[in-house]
Amino acid sequence: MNRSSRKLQAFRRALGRELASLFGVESSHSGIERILEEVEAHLEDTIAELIDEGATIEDATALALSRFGTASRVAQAYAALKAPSFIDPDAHVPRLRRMLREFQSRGKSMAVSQWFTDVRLALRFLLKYPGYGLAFVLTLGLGIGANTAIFSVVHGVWLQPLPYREGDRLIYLRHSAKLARIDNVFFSVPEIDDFRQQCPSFEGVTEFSAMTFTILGLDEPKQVRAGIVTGNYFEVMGLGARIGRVIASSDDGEGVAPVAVLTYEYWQRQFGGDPGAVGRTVTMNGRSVEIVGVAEPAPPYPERTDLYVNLVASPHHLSATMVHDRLHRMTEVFARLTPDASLESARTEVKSVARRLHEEYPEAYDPAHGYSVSLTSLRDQFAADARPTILMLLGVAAFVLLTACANVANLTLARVMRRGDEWALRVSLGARTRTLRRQLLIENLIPSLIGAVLGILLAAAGVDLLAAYIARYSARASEITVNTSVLGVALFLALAAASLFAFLPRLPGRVSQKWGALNATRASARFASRRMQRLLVVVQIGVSFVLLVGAGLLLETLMNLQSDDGGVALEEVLTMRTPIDYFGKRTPAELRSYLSTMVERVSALPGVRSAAIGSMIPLKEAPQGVFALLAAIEFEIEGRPTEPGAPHPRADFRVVTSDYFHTLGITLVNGRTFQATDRPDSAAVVVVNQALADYYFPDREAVGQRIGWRGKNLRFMGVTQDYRTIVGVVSDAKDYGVAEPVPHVVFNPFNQMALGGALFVRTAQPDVVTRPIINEIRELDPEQPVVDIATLAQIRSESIAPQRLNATLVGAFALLALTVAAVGVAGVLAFGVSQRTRELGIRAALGADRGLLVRTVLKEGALLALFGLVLGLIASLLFTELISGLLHDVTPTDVWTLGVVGLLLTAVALLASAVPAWRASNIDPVQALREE
Amino acid sequence: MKRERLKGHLDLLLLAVVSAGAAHGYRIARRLADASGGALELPEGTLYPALHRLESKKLLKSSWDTVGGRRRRVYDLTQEGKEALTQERTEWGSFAKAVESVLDTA
Repeated sequence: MNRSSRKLQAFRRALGRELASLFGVESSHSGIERILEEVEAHLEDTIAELIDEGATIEDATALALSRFGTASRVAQAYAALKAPSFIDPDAHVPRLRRMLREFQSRGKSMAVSQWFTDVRLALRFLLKYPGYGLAFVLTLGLGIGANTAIFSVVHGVWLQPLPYREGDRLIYLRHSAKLARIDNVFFSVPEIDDFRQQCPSFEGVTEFSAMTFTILGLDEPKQVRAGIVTGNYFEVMGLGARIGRVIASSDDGEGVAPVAVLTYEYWQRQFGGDPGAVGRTVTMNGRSVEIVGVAEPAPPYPERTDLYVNLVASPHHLSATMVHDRLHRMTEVFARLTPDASLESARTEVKSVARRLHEEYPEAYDPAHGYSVSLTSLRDQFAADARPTILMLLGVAAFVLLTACANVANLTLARVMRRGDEWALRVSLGARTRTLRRQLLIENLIPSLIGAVLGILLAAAGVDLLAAYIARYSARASEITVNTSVLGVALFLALAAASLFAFLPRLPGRVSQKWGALNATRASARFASRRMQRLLVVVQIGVSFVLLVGAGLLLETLMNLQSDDGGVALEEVLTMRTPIDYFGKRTPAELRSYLSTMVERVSALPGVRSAAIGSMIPLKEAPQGVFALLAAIEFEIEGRPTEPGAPHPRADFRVVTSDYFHTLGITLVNGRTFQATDRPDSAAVVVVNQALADYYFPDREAVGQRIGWRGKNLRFMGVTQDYRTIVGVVSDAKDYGVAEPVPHVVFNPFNQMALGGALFVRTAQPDVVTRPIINEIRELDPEQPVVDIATLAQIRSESIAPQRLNATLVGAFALLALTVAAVGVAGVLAFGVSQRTRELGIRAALGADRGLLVRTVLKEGALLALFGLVLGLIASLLFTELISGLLHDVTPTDVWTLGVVGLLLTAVALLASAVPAWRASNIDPVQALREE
Repeated sequence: MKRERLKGHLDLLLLAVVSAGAAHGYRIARRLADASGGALELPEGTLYPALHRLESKKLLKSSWDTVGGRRRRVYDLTQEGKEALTQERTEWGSFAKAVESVLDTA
């Protein structure tokens, strides 16, 4: 036997084995024998013919076998059919049973190897179309990346447990005066004691109040923000020491030494994590304080503090006023529930205690102010402010994912349609739809998973930026990381996307017995797929529309704010805080002379045009807590007594030197500003801003009217209730940031009410004069801290940073979606053109105007854009309302924005249609016809 | 015609090719290849499953015959096969005509 016939024999045996195993019969079955004989004859005929044409017998055999296909290929084709009628498996039942057993034992490994085959096929497919694979991975990667990053925020800020021991039992209590519109009026110590003793749901109630201290003993005089806490603070919060110890109940009371515990963050920032920091002694507001430990990292709430000190570190906290005055509210309260208590039970108890207190101490709870106590789980409290931003980001990310998925789905649909013929044949040869579906699933799964990896990398790269952004809204921003839960979400998105892509396309169905059905099925599948493609593009355009509108609204907000100077001379005003220790070394008279000297000496410096002292820096965010109380003080207008029970009007209380207005660029509208003649012993005067004058004196001159400060907080400030004459009205400044409304402000002259806070310098060269100013101040008092040095322009820029970030983030995502949508439009139209090559070619051959062909395609693009715009318009009317809280001076239905976005999208869609349109007009009719 | 498209009509084509006269597998393959101008290049081995299926569906019948000195299975149309082919041809023709007339007027 020669090699050629050995090859033929081997093939025959292989095919026999495959078929016998397939049909479940012996290989000697007559039906199999018949097939083998036919095949053998076929091969011999082929070889004979090839030899006639001049091939060697070896070559001819090889060629014949390759043309015939492998034994398993042929068997596969049979597998798709029922066994031919001439093979009757029932005649061989025992053999079949044996086969079945064998098959079952091999089943698992066969399934696995089937998966391997599918994976191999999928990889080969992707490598064959690298452009497709790349587009798939990049688009989906971006979508998954955006969502993974945003989810890491949701997880970090919202979902994951608090970094406190059994943090779910922690409650934050807030005391509000709703009718006076004060969100947080804080608690007084007697109130806290009442809640502590009368609410059995609380295992512990702890007190926290923040205060600024001047700290000496570090490299230079500094200011620190300290949380003054009761000894049970760390125990109630469930927070331990990283090194050293935390503050304990033994640190309460008067006879103990002042101690400080550093926050982990301050320890890192100020001491570089040096364990030697513990044990050091520093001077805080003139008192020696020993640093006894470093706390575990914890969210900075209710505000960012550098360290914690015990009560004795602040003499005020042990004073009679603090301990016994029910009105002296300056403390925040956290509580830990007992293991059996619920937030609800605590709420009920607190409500009933509050009701009793309101009855027992009517003088402390003016009904006109509407006092109430609310309880929130600490976890919800931390996330509360971040909510609108996070929801917006979630929405944006979801839209980006939607458009990315639509794009990939379109790619996949086009792929499936291109392979429609191949698959229709496979189906007609009996391949099960399930098999095709599985292959499609794996083909989508692999790039989806690669996309997920890319997305995770993108998210990991962007998460720090995002955390810095969220830090403005949530104390837990430092806990935002890409962790396993986040990875799980990325993986889930990839799997969901892959399933979507695999199950979205309609596969050619099983061919019915009727002839011609195959064609009809394919045509209708193709039609459905084209319709689906267009629908997806419409969705993409709609999503882009929504995102662009959102970005446009946020951008307009930003531009509105950026063009707002807040009513002050932004560029030329340098500000710095020069905090004064009011409990410390100077009497009010000494303080007045100290600050006056400071202003005089700074004004005399070269490059300084003028200088002033003021109690508050404008364009900064609204003050909180105690400062909110100072900011809004009750007053009464002479001749307009407030009715009993009704709230007094309120105005912001400021103290400024005479040069303040001129230095900040605030102009005089009426009357005069302060003068040297306004002395402590002369008539009491005030200046009001325009907003106040317009509101309270709409029909007469404000100048000449008299107002008197009222309310129970005055006695803490040493301010009398005497009437003061309004001598001037000045222009409005946006004290709380350009995005905030102008408050009603009353300015008191520094000479009549010594209160410092900040130094303002008018100069053309802020950078040049900064150092000389600090030197001058330090010469006056080496222990004077000078902090937060910035021009008003920088402060404004900082105050609108969130809006800038909003606009940038949403804008970036919107551009991304726009690009994806443009690619989607171009892709679908190009695909349509390639599918209609013959039709278009015939039309060109029949003399159709090429311009007409271009217009046909452009019209399709315009139609897609139109539907997308309508969808987008509807969606944006639904969704932009949700971000109305983030807008400023722009309505969510801003016609200008909607119009510009509509035009932009239409232009992009037409531009994207231009390429396929051009191709359509350049189809060579001859080529097109030959192709069919 | 595109190869893929031809494949989709494999059953119809086989019936058509056999209708030209009873033939064995190899001859059917050759006729198919010649008629399609070499465009149909599916593995020849897959021809037999298709033939055997048509036979099972009683559209073709087969019997042993000796051709060129060798025993071969020769296929021919059954009555049902002829009817199916006629019907399919008519449908195809009217379909093609409809398409042509649409294209001509377009």
